[in-house]
Amino acid sequence: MGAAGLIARKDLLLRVRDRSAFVLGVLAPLVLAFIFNLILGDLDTGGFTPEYAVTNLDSGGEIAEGFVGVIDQIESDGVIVITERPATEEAARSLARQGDVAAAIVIPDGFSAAVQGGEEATILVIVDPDAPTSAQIARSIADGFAAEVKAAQVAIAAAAGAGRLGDAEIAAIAQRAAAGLPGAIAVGTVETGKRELDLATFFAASMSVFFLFFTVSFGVNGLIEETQLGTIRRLLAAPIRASSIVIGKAIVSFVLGLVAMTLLIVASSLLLGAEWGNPVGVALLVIMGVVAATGMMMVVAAFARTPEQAGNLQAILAVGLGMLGGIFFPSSLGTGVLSYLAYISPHRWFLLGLGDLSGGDGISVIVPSMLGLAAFAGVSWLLAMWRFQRKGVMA
Amino acid sequence: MRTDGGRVSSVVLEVDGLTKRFDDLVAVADVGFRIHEGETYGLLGPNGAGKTTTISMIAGLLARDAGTVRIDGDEMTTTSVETKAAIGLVPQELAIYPDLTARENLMFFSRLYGLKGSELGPRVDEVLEVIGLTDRAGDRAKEYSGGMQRRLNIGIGLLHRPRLLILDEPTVGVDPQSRNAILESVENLAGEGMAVLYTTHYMEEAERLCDRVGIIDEGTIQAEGTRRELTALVGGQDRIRLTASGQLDPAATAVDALDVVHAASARDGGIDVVASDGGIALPAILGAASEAGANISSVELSEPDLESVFLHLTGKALRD
Repeated sequence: MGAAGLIARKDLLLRVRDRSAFVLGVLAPLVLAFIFNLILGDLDTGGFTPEYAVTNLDSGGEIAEGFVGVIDQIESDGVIVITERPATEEAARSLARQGDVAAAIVIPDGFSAAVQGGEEATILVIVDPDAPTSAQIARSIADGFAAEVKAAQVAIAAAAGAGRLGDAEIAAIAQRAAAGLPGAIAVGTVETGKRELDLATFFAASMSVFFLFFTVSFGVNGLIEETQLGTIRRLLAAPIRASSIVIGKAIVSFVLGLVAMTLLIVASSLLLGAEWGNPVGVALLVIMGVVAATGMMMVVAAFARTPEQAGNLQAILAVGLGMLGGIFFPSSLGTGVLSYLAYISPHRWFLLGLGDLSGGDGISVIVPSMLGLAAFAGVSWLLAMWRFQRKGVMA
Repeated sequence: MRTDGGRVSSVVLEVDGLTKRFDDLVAVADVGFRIHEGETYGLLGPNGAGKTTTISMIAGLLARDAGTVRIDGDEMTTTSVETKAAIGLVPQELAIYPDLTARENLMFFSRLYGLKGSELGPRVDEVLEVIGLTDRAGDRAKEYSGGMQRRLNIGIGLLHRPRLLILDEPTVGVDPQSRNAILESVENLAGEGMAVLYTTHYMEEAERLCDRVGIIDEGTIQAEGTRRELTALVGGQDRIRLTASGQLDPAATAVDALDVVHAASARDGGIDVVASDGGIALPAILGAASEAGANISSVELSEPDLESVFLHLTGKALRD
């Protein structure tokens, strides 16, 4: 066994005796995943079905009826429940205001005529601010329909502008657009669902990757501990390459991370019913995730002066990146700038990869995630090695 | 090579022109000395004199700005791997793993130094015996007393039977019993042919252990030689210790101004004086000190020792 292996073996023995790596790396994420799953698990087990009111003030209007048809179709799929169909906008507002429904969707009088005449038309979505998730779903349904209508309008305008179509043909396009709307929206919903993990798996995975960053820090922080114990002088005076010390610590991080993730995958599958997906794909993501996490924690260890300083900085980094990467809420709930910022977090790439795997399309779908994680790993390892070289422990 | 009482011994450590700067501060300047096998060489100097910086460069822990370090003729640098195998380092601060047992600490470092197979276990047992920890070998080091931890710290440096053992102030903060055990161990090691470089600011240790002593202050070797050679530098001068209270600094200055006094320095509730023919000079010294405001409670007159030499060479006491 080389010097790096000896150092790694010694550190692993110390970690096993210490037990904190096991508590933080396996027990904590498992317990948290269980708790999250207990609290929020109903979201995807049928317990969570948003309730809406729908008011169609354009009764008989072709487009309005089409939209109502879309909503009815979604309800019959069991995704939402229409509990009220109030006759007036005021009544719909009242229901949402009082929290009787999560949102009220109001189709105004003359909506169909306005759309068919190429004029601006508005679908009103009145939301209960205390039910943001349900409100977002209602908005998405309306947005999806509006987008389809807009597409149909553009097609008709383009065709009419080119003068190639007569009135009968334009009417036929409008007819087809209206008829096709429910199907189009339904397909969109299904596709979104394909790239999402179920909540049990999501929380098992997100807590695992979140705590992975803490787990691997036990290895790389060993360098600072050696300095504090004074043993770094002995190691540097020993007939070994200085780089063996850093490599030994990295091996400890890698082994701890890999063991913790493996235990979590097995335990969450057995205890929480998590479905991680293709084992080969999951293994690749885990390995790359551990390498990236080790690199990032090593950067902190390379710059920190004391174990306390390293621990604090690593906690800030792990929590910050974790939250940004969407470990506490499924990515589907993130919107706006945040959804883009999430990509500067390795957690996001890891969860994205698992989400892609859950579609069952083979392991090639994780290539983007692997590249994302590899980028984090590459940059952080280079930075850490540069720093260690300057400190004289990478000669 | 040198002949030592009919025995021929080779040079283990050769240090020439060793220099280290930290920005504007010259920590070590043009230090040079040699240590032969079986010889114990002491670097004697106060804290901050440059002892630890010197041995850090010798052990390949610190890059030097100038000079050479050779162990058995091989150049030592921070990246030397083979050459480092010839050195056993005992750092000043404890450098052990408190959550490992003594045996596990020794096993780990043994393997790191390349010991393996059938020689590993017996050698660890042997070292445990030498440092007197056989009975407690299975206990974690954090459960040991300070003295036991110190002995383990030394034991690690002995494991691979180094050609050169470097001990950096190994007895600092150690109880008298453990200190004596450490000094005995060092004496035995030198007797076995190991070259020992021993840094200390305790004059008594240097006098007891070292065949030759280099007196170091402000990064330079002020003088070097055997105890007899060094005390000869002081000539017929005696060392006088005045235990006193009151105005010690002015009193030391007044005493220093006397023709018969070579050096005087106030420290630790008294005044250290180096004077020619102390018995005759004593009345004048006592008078000058009393007149300058010192209340003298006792007087101790002794023949020259390394403390006197240090005072003679630097004008200050070893433990200033």
